[in-house]
Amino acid sequence: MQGPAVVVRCRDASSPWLREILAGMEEEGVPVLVEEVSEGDGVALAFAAARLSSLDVGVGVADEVCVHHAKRPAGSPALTGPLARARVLGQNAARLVVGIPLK
Amino acid sequence: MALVAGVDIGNSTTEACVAEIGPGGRVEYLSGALTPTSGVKGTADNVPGVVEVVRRALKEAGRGVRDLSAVLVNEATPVISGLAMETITETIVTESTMIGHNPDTPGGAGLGAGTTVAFGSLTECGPGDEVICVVGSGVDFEDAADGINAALARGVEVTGAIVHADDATLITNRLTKPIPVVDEVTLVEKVPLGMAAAVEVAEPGRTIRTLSNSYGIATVFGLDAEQTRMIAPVARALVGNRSAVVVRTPSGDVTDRRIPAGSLTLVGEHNKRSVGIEAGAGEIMAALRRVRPLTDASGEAGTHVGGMLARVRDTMSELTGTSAEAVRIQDVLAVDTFVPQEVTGALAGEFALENAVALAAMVRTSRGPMRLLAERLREALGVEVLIGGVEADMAVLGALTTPGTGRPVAILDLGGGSTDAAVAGDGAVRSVHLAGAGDLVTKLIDSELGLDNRELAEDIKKYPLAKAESFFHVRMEDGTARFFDQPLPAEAFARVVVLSDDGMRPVPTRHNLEKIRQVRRAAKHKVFVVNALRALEQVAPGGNLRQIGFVVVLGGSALDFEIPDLIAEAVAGMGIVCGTGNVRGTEGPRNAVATGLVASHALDLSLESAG
Repeated sequence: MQGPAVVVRCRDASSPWLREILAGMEEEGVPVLVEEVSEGDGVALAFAAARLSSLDVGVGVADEVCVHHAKRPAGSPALTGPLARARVLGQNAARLVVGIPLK
Repeated sequence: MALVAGVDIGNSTTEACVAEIGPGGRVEYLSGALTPTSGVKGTADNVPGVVEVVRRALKEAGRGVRDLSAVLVNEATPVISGLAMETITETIVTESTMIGHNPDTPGGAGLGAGTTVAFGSLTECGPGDEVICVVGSGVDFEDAADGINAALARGVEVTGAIVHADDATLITNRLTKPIPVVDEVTLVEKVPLGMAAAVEVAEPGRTIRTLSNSYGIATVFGLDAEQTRMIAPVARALVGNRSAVVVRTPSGDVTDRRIPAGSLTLVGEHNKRSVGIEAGAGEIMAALRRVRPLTDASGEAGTHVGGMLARVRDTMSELTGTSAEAVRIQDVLAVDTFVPQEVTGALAGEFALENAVALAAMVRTSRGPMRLLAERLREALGVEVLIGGVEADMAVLGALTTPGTGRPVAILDLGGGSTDAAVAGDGAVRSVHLAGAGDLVTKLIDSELGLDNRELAEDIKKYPLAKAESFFHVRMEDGTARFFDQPLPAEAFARVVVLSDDGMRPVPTRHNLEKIRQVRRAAKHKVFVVNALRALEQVAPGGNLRQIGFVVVLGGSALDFEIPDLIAEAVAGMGIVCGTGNVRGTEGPRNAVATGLVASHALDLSLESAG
């Protein structure tokens, strides 16, 4: 894996919510890497993504958006929220990296 | 052998001390207990609290109520304090000059000036027009960037943008020419169009330079001297921001005026002085020193200060059941502070700090209900109840059980509502009760940090701060790190938190840890250090603090993690030994009066048997 980035794992890379998550992270100025995978729920996707991320932060997009940190217990994500809050959750994932209070 | 219980009814807590008095007045202290005071100090409402605390102390000592020979109660003259706060200056920014604003992530950098144009009308602008684009809610960031790029391509000089959503970086990243963009402007629809405006965004880690400078604004808008004077408060409000917007409209007007806060009249035993509240706390306290001892204080009718004192008086009269005219204010403490005020015409609900004076006033009321209290207590416990000596004398006696103390000794009793001091040399005990204590500190912290949450302010006062640096550790205010097994909650992440006994509590403000710490310490200094010096000066022999050898700090606020140190530091230069009391070597700064009552009673008994 190259460069520092938050990893986003989603089941459908054409999802309009993905654009929102990426926008949220861009707004906070944090690099991101997207991977499309075939199965897993939000928490599992997010945790796997966090373990892959050199920044220790991962986002999983399934029926909901889940933000995870590699150092946290697998079943206990940092944040979860509905798809409609994708932009804010993206921003908050980035904020975990930057170290500023969440929105 | 006689088993007695000393009981101290305080403003907020009731404390008891159970002891056995042997032949020759030898005292064996058995236990101590503490409960919240029921009702207003010195009234019959205190009975349930006293019964509770006596039972608890007896239980701890392994004794029963029937073993008691007497309950000793302090002469609980109610000393009640009230608080009020009033703004003394006010910056009025009319709605036509709008200012703001400081989002977390503005876009681009630099200064842009031009005429405000709605995003939808950008197509109507011609080449060479200098414009600031106003993007309302519901416009997607890609569409906004495309629209601005199209205008730039046609030769329109788009120099900056004001955006409703949190989109600034997204928009600037898609522009062909970098411009400053301020986002999260919640009231974007109120930005007047067709007006001269300026947008400034500083590089990350820097603050704006032009719009926070009166002459910078004057240069941008071509203002004359008089207009510059009027815009000065806007510049001041923007100092320290990373981004800002100023919209100049023809009728735009800003004034910084002093509210006639009224004058405070201090009536002393010998003379009387009036002082304007807007002169500030220093002048008020100087005037107070000149009229001491104070017999009453009043405020000019129809002014802020008049209202403040009337409120204090009403509260007191309600609590004590006396008429408002009979209430005499015995002491006041004035403190300079700041109150956040919403800026009229702001774009995103910004606040500006306005100067204010907080006043604590204290009233002593009659001793009447004391006998009734003793009678009710006798009925409730079925034990003889004796009303003990003067509270200050008792506190001194109790304080002297602190290991390492000696005469002359002064006590400082730091409570919630008042600060009391007493000094005992070889002669009689001299004492004072001063207005202003823990509650005022809480109020100052609440208002200066704009919390509007008394409970949180109380926690900030009582506990150290930390910053949650990761999900598993916090950095304490002294720089040490503390780790946790369980991940911290997300709402604490990267925030300043208070480490209270009940766990971690995030402080939901933008203030950094250093700022909160500084406000907390300054508030304690303004109240407790000022009052400690004021109190000691009044009780010290000849007003000379150097005549006092030992100062013992007592009371609830003496348990604070930094107030005793602040006071010790302030009196260290005068050769005074100052520290937190440790009553009977076990009770810490608590239980001094209860212990003193027992000690005094033992002394009386031994004198009786000797005589």
